[in-house]
Amino acid sequence: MAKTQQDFLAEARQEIPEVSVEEVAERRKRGEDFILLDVREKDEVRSGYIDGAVSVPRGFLEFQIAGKVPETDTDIVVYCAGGARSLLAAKAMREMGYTNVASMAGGITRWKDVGHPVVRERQMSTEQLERYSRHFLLSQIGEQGQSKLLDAKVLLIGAGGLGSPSALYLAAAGVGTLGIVDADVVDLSNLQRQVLHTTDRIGTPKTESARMTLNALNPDVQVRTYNERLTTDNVMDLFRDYDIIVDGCDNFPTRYLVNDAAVLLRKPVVHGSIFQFEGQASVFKPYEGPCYRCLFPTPPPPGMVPS
Amino acid sequence: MPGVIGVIQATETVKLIVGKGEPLIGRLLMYDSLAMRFREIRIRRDPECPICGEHPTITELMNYEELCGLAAPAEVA
Repeated sequence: MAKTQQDFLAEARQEIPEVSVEEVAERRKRGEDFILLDVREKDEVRSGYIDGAVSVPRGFLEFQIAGKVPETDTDIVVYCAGGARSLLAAKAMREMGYTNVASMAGGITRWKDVGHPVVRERQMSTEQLERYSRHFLLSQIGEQGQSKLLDAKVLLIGAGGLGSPSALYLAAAGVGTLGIVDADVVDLSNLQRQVLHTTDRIGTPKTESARMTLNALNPDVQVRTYNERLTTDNVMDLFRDYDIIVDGCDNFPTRYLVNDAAVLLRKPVVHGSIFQFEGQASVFKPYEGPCYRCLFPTPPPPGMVPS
Repeated sequence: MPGVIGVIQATETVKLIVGKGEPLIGRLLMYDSLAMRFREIRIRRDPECPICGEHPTITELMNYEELCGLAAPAEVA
């Protein structure tokens, strides 16, 4: 005999406890450890969701839930717009072996009606949704991660051998603000490896050339150019504005300057260096891990290692 | 060759921003492109580090050309 939608919901109610929005809010306030699962469609989530909720649209539930919530005894409260889809989703999860699942009665509509807050990611344009679509396929990035990238401010020291590829990929990924510090102009010998620049830009400041390439690749990125040398006079003010420093320096004094300023300002430095056919990379996060000086307390004698 | 390291830097930056994966904090990745080998060594915060150690002596910026034994800023590459 065919089931009606009422039948589905009634069956679910028999198995799945419903919790009120007040109860959910109380539990969060007490700092209780449980997962809020949002089973609405992506476009609904985009217009606002409960902060911290994990999003798995109902249509992908059976396929994605194990990846997002691996432990089947996890305390989970499922919600949707009105409280109906969440019941069905919770029942399906029960069948998959999840033992501690409840549904939030009234859904996010009731949550908002009684005045609890919802959060939204930045609204992305259709073009952005298309541009970053490959990121959305990766659970580690998703739309939330893309929002973080678009909000991030990264400063690149040097638009040369190391700065070129990192700038290109950071711009492609959608890092919203990219600062570039370089006092040099494009030279023919640079073009053997400095892929940010082109033959017709020989003689142009590297920062300007970088801006042209990066904006052509991704107009979402705000490229801030600093056509100057990094010195003790400008470094602190410059670094303060950014979240992460990418060190593509080509000389030791600047490396130590970057390190010291970053430690003093508590900014992480993504370090890279190359010499002939060898390269090194690390991340110096002040006080969490070593800094450049922990690794290289004294600079090499002048002339020993060419910059 | 710088391409590989530059892209690794970009990857680490993205990871820090989205807060996923394990960044190279406390690890030094070393790349030999001729042998095409990567190796990794653990690096630790030095408790005696003059700037980020337990008893830091460096609390402000200094003359870095002097630190590196170079005569004048004009000689820096």
